[in-house]
Amino acid sequence: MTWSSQSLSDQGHWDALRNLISRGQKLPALDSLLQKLKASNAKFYIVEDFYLDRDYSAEYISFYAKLFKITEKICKRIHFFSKDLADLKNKGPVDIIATLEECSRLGEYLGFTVVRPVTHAPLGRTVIRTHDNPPAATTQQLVSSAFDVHLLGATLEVVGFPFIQQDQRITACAQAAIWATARHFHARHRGQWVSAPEINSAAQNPLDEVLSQSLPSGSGGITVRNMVRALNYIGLRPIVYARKINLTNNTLYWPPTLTPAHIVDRYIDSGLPVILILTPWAKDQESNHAVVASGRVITVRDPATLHHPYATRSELIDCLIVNDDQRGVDVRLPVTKGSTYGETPYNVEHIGGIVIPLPDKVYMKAEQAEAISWGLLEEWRQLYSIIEAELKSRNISKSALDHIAMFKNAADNNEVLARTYLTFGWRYKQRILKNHCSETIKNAIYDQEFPRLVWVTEFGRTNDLNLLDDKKAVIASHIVTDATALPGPFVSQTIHLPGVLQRAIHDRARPSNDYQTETFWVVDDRPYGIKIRGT
Amino acid sequence: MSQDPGKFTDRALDACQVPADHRIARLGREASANTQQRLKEIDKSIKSADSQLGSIVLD
Repeated sequence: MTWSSQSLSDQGHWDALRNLISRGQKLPALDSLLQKLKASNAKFYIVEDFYLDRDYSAEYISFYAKLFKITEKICKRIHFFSKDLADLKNKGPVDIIATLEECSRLGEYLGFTVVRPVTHAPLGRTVIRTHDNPPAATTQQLVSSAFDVHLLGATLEVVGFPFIQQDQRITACAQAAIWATARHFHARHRGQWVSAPEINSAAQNPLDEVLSQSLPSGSGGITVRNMVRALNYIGLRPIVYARKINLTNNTLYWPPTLTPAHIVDRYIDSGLPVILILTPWAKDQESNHAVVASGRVITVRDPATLHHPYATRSELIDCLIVNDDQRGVDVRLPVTKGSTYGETPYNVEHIGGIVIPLPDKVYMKAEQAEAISWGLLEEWRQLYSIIEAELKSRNISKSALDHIAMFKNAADNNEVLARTYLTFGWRYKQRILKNHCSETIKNAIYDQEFPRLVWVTEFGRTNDLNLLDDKKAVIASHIVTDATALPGPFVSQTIHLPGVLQRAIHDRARPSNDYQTETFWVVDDRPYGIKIRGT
Repeated sequence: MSQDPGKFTDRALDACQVPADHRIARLGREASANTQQRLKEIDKSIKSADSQLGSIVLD
């Protein structure tokens, strides 16, 4: 293998890097990628000059090898570092391995991009860990997986969300979005490894009149229906949200129960990539576009704007982080009107549809789990005087009683925020046992059995959650809902409302009967930490 | 770590268990009319969405 390296100490070096990848073409996605690398403090790169890429090889066999005009089959792969490794060339192999692996351990390896020998679309498989946080905001990359990378004998790791540029021959934006989704599931959950041509083929089975409007078929774009077929092929069970049609004036709108940013947030907060269907945003634009949401930028809000029924922590979102195959990696899509952090020409108002690639065995939607949880909170409010009297008779401490009373007061005044996410039952249990919540809660949950996948709805006071730092945020309540159940009675597995905990258990004698429930007074109740992704 | 953690937690919980016939023990047994209405609205909103979305071409 031949390799070369270069420091990125001045603009001339960045320009040279741009030319190395673009060969003089104007590529907004590349400009954005380089800008993100700059913001992530990239100082050095290494180029593998002769790199046989599995993804590009699949594209080559499927299409480029069949053309009369010769296209090369060998790629370059460029690795980026936030440390200047200018002296690497002077080191021996053992020292090079040690240096590179140390960079990886210290988080100084920023990732890689494969440069395809296709001039109009050189950005192949790319995984970059960006650190581009605007001031007075927190950027949260919620959907990511670890990728092992082998370079010069060293094994490096980068955590990120995959990106690929559409080549307009095999892939349009929709296939690029599905590819990124599939590759994430492959890396994170041992999902199927699929190439772009395989995705294209799944989307085109059966072939239809829309796909046949371009040659090769599908290269001019695929429909949402085709996209759903391809996601199903790779073992995911997509659910589609779309706007409603107003028949009086023939316009499309999102009903009040379905706010696009909140729908997206509940799923990305669950570690699931979400495909956004974007309707035209510019004058005379006819085409629709697909991007993948994988994170969010949150800001602190004026509390008064959050004081309303069924408020959610998703209301702190200023921007969604999306991978746009034409505009680059981790670009910010504005959600808040007048957001100064947005980087895309489109915004949340252009979301016309949302495709969630769910894992198998999820039968309840996030909104339903959250609505059930709000109902339980309301029931708790109505029972509060009974709970308070019982806790007082059990000599509850003043601090615990104050905590419960403060939450009741917040709930009475619409000063509560909800947050709902999907997680594995075992993972939920692990998190709660490591949390600093009441020992009664831990004791009850310790030997409780959970379904494979559960929805967790956390409730906390607005003041305790309207914060940039998740580590400082606390909640007072959470409800665990069986994600493998259909909405109905007995779907809540664990209900913790201040002062009370209820758990559902199978009736051992008659397991197919309704769950038995056990309820406990939580005299040692106190605020506890929210779930932080990656912990 | 306890040799028999199950028994330990059971003992700790026994003292604070709510009797099965207590009103609080029926928490969550039945969704309120308001919750049922909200669930219906959510379901209806998702199912009555624009059926043309499937035909939108993405490029």
